[in-house]
Order: sequence, then C-alpha cells, then structure tokens
Amino acid sequence: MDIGHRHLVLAYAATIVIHLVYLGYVAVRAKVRRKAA
Amino acid sequence: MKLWRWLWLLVTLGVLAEGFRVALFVVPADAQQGDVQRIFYYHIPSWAGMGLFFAINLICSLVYLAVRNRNHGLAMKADSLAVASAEMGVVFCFIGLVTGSLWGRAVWGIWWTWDARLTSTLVLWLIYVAYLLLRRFAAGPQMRTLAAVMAIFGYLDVPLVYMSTRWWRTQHPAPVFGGAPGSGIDPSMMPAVWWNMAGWIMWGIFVASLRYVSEYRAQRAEQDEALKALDAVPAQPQIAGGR
Repeated sequence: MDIGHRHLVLAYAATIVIHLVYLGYVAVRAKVRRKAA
Repeated sequence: MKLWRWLWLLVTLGVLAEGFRVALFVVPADAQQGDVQRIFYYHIPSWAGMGLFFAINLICSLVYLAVRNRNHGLAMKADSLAVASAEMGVVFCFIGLVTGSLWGRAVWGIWWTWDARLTSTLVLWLIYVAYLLLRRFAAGPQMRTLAAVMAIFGYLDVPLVYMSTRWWRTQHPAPVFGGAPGSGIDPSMMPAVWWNMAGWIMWGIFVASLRYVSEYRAQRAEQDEALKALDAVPAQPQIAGGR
C-alpha cells in the first residue's frame, strides 16, 4: 500500500473513530445524568 | 431514545454508507493526485459541519444574552444548544485538522505548516476548546454569560479562516468552491461531495440533539435543586418599626 492509499484509509478511519468516541462521551454523560436524577 | 431519533439515525447511516460507497468506488480518481484526493470527501463536510455548528453556537449565545433576565426557560434552552453545538463544532474542526494533516503529508510531504489557513483554523479550534474549558471549570452565575460573550468573540475567527486562502496565498490550495473563475471540481465528482456533506451534517444534528437533551435536563435539575434549597430556608421574621 503506497502512502496515498494508506493516508486515505487513515483519514476515513480517523473521521469515523473520532465521531464514535464523541458519541460514546455523549451517551455516557447522559447515562450518568439519568442515574444521578 | 424517541422513535423519530431512531428513524433519523437509520436514514443518516444509510446516507453515510452511500456517501462512503460513492466516494471510494463510484467517482473517478483525481487526475493529478490519484486516490488520495478522495480524502476531500470527508475533509470538506467536516469544515461545513464546523461552520454550521459554530454558527448555531453564535446564534444561541446571542439569544442567551438577549433573554437571560427576561425569559429563563428560553435562555436555558439557548445555552444548552450553545454548548451542544460548540462541542460538535470542535469535533468537526478536529477531524478537519486531522484529515488535512494526513492529506498534506501525502501530497506536500509535510504533516503541518504554519500557513494562514492552517494557523487560523488551529487558533479557532483552541478558542472553542477554551470556551468548553471555561464552561467546565468556571462556576458561579456569571459563567454562562461569560461563555456567551466569549463565543461571540470566538466566532470572529470563522470569517478569517474562510477568507484566509483568498487574502493570503500560502501553502494551502486556493478555494475549490467559490474561488477564482475556473475553480471547482469535475461535475462527475460532485455526488460524493453531496452525499457525504448530507450524511455528516445529519450525523452532527443527531449527536448534537442527544447532547442538547442531556445538557438541558442537567440545567433543569440544577435549577430545581436551587429552588428546593431556597424553599428550605426558613422565612426571616420581619422587624417592625426598625430605624
């Protein structure tokens, strides 16, 4: 795999992973709030 | 989670899957850069998402400042939406920086350079990270007002970022859309732009709406607790005929 293809895969993977990490943060925060209420 | 949110999520995932397919397997590769140019189809929607959510943050901050002493319910909703949209904007901005850096390493041979577009974008990201840190660590009744004022000043960097490639010619390429005559991409590539733009913005709306609900509930609970504490304080006897 040359650098172009490797970085294309990394860019798409990074986008998806970062969005999922943030979704996880939002979900955990909402769960903690619900438990506290 | 409500039914409409599940439906929204389902449609969003469908649009994202189609965007992924069109970007990687349908539209042609760039004549000069080859396949690495396909990063563009995830890079551009990140900037569009960032612009949209920082604009929502600006509007909500203005609304909060305008109504905070008159309409507490609306102010709370505006403030909750402001924090949700700021977080979403920071996420999109971070993805734009990461995908841009990966693309830059492949085509320029460098991860980063202090050119006008990259530097102003990094400053923008830092301003909104500072906004979120202020909200996280500052306490007291003035925190939300301070954050709203900061958001308004922070947004001033958005037009600077947008215009940076028009005002200064440095490392970053000239604007692809709305640039000089003849700028733009081949019409055969546009479906990948539209699908991914729609998909990622729909995703952003989905996540920001979840975050908004969580923040609004938290603020309402905080308010209820404060009201309960006030009720628990015994009434002070009135001193009649004092000097």
